[in-house]
Amino acid sequence: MAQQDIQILEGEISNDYKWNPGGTVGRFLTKLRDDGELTAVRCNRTSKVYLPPQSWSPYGNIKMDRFVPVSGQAKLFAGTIVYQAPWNLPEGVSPPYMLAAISYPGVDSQFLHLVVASEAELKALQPGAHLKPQLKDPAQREGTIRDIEYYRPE
Amino acid sequence: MAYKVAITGVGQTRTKLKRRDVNFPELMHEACERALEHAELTPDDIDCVVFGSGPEYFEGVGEPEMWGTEFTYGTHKPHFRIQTGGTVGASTGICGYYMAASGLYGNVLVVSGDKLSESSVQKGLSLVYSPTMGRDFAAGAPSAVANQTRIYQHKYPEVTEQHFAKIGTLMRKNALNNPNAQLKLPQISEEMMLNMAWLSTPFRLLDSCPTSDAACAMVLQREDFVEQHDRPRSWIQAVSTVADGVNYPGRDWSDPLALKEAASRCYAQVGITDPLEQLDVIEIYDAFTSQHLMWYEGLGLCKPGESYKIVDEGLNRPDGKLPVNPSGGVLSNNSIGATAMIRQAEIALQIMEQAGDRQIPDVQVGLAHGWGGAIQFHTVMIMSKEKDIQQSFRNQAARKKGAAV
Repeated sequence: MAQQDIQILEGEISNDYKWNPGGTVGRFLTKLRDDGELTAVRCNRTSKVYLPPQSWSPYGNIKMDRFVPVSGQAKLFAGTIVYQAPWNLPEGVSPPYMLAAISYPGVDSQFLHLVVASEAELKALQPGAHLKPQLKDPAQREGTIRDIEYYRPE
Repeated sequence: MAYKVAITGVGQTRTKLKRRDVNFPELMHEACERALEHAELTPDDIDCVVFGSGPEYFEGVGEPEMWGTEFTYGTHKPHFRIQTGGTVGASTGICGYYMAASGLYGNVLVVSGDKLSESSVQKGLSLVYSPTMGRDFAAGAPSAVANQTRIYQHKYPEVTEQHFAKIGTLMRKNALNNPNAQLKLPQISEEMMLNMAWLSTPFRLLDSCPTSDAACAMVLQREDFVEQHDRPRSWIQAVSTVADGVNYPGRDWSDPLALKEAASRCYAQVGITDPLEQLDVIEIYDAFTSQHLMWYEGLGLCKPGESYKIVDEGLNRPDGKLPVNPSGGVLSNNSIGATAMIRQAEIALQIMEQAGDRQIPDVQVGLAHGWGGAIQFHTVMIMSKEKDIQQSFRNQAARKKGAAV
C-alpha cells in the first residue's frame, strides 16, 4: 500500500532555564514570598513609583533603590475577559477569567494580574472596581508572581 | 547627504494558512525570485541582502538567516538579519534603505517572512513576555491589545464594537480584490462580525488577524541605478522607527506616542502638515480591528478620540478621502515576518500603478506603517511617485483643482 509523501517532520524543542530576576525583582519576589507584601520602587529624580519594581528609571536616568511598601485598595484600571485558553493557562484558572491592569494608591504604573470570578461578575466589573488579592498560604509560596493566586472582586 | 532610494521590485509569495509545498528558505526564495523578476535584475546585480524574520520560536531554527543565505541570493555578499518582532518586515525594509541611502550599496535586496504554520504562534508570542514577571499571564497577542482597546474605550465611550465590526468588514471586503490576501470571506458582514464567539473582550474571533505562511521581498536601488532605466519606481522620501517602553508610570497603552513621534519626524522631513489631505493611500499594521482607531490618531489623521468618525464617514474606504489598507490589511493576512514589509510593498505597488483590482487612482504620496513589540515599536515610511516629493504634492494639487473645475 502506497504511503503518503513526506510533508511534515514533527519535532519538539525544550530547554531548562535558570532565569535571574535581577536584584530588584528578586527583592520584590522574596518579600512577596516571605511576608505576602508587594514592594514598589520610587525614582529619586521623578518621584514616580514603579510596580513591579525595576532597577533603572528610564525617565530619571538613574538607578532606583528606594523601595516602598504597597498598601491600600487595589482597583481595576482596565481588564479583558479571556475566553480562549492560552497555551500556558495559569495554574488553577480556567476561562473565562480576566487579565487586568490593576492600580494601587501611591503607585504610578499599572500592575498586571488575574481576576477570577464568575462570568457575570467579571462582565459587571467597571474601572475603579475594588479588588482583593488572594495570596497562597505561606507554606505554598514559591517566590513567583503567582504567590498572589489572583484577585477577586471585593 | 543621503542618496535618494527607490523601490523598483516587489515580490510577494503565494500566501496560505499552510504552505506545505515549501520549507522556510524556499518560501523566502520565492519572494526574492519574484522581486528580482519584477525589477528585471539578476542575482548578480544584488550587492547586499537584508533578511528579516520573527522570533526564532516560529520556525524553531536558532539562526534562520544562516539556513536561508543561499536561498536569498546572499552568498559571498553582505548579508544581515533583522528581528524586531511585528515590525521586522518594516525594519528590514528601512535597514535596506539605509544601506542604499548611505551610498555603500546600489542594489539592495530585502526579504522578510515567516511560516507560522510550523509551530504554535500564540506560544511563540507569549514567550516574548518577561520570564520572571508577566509570562504567567501571557495569553498571546489578543489579550494585550484587548486591554489597550479597553483603555481606549474608557477614554472614549463613543467607540463601540460596531466600529470594530465596520472596520473588520471593510478590510475583509478589500481583501477580495487582493490575490495575495489569505483570508477571503465573501460573505463578511457587520452582523457576522458581531455574532462570532468571544476571543478576549472586546474582541470576537474576526476582530483578530489570521495566521499565514508568507514572505515578501523588495529591491531597493540607489538613485544612480534607478536612473539607468525607466521602469516603475516608488521613491522613499522619509523613514522613521521609534520605540516606546512597556509599562512605565503614566503610560497610556492606548496613546501611541511612538507612532506619533515616528509620523511627525517623517512629516517634518517631507513637509506634510495635513496628512488626511496630503496622503493618497496608507497601509497600516492592523492585527486587530480596534487598532485602526488608535493608529489613525497616532498618524495625526484626526483629533484625539475622533477617529471613529473616519470609520463612520467611510473616509477610509477605497473610494474615500484616504483609503486605508486596500490590500485587506493585516486582518486578512499575517505571517508576522512579512507583514510590515507588505505594507511598504503595497504602497510601492500603488505608486507604480501595479496594484491590480485594489489600485487607488493616481497615488502620488503614500505611507506604510508597522507595529510590534509590547504595543511599543512603530515604523513609518513615506513614498512618492516623483523623485521630488514636492512635485508629487503639486500633482495632487493640480488633480484636486481639476476635480473642482
